[in-house]
Amino acid sequence: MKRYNEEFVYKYLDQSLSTKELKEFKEALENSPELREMVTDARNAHQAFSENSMEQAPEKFSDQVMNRVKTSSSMNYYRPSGLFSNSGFLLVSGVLTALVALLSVINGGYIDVQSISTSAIEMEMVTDNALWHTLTRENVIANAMLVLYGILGLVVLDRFVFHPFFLGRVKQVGLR
Amino acid sequence: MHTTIDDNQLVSQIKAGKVEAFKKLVDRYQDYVFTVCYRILGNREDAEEVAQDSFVKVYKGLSNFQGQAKFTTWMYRIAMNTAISYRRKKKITLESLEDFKKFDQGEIRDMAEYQKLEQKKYLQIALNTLLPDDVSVLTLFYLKELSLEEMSDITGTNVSTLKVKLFRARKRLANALKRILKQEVSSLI
Repeated sequence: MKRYNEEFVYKYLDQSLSTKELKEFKEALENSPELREMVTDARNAHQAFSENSMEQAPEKFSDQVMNRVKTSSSMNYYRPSGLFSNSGFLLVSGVLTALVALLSVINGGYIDVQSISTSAIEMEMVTDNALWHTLTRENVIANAMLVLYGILGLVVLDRFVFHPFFLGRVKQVGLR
Repeated sequence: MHTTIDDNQLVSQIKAGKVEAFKKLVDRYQDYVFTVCYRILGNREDAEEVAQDSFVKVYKGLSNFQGQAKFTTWMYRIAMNTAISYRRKKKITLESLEDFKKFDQGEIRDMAEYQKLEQKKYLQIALNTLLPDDVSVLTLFYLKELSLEEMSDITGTNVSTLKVKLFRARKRLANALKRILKQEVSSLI
């Protein structure tokens, strides 16, 4: 009689024996107490796992996961399209705009290379000039308008050029 | 397991900013991920924490998910690796027979339910004696959702090695279960 090893026993449990093999195996099973014990042991474990293959997640598990996801910093990555795109362009433009605004304020609202390079004494003399004050006030408004137009321009560029481009890349690369 | 909206469609929605689409994925696979973690870690508290960690990792990693593998294959790999590294790093307490006995005092409605609970109890105790790699392979196999090729993707082993690993793991489980049942019987006599 053919001797059966444990590998054959698992094939039997998985029902992957051919009809001929199955018939021979069943005959051997009837005649061999050793083989029967082998099958019983393997079947116990197989049945226990098959019947308990799935555990149930605790209640409100998905809500807890969503809370953690929503508080995680990575949330920003999948922000909806719009003004806050994920291209990072707004961040750069924001920093640049803030720098321009800061320079305008430091320089009394007038960005002029000549005035920046002026020494402290010269600056004192210039600030005494009433005409300079008038010019500065006018330039504050002009520069503020410039900054606003700049921001608007950057937003339009980001919304209609950069964002669609990056989103297109994400779709192309990530979800093919 | 298969529903109207395909996993990849949900992934696209999440990437487009629809966070709630992720909840659908969690609802769909929470039992599977929890099962993988529970089997490897051997207790429900740690399994819950690690299963949550796994889903957060899945969410964070979606930007790198190329869609070349099945979403589930990728997700199981994350869950399995998270659970195994958690088990290695932390000294976790595997539920012992005594722990299970504490829960036995609850109300059991009928004999079938009692037998089912007993079977579940001994299975988990036997699993707790095995190595995490063996438990992972067995868990994936008995989920009955994955082909051997998918399982080999998840575990990072080729199919023929996986078959050998699976066979050995099943054998070890059968032996462990036999030993535990023998101990139980002798303690009753």
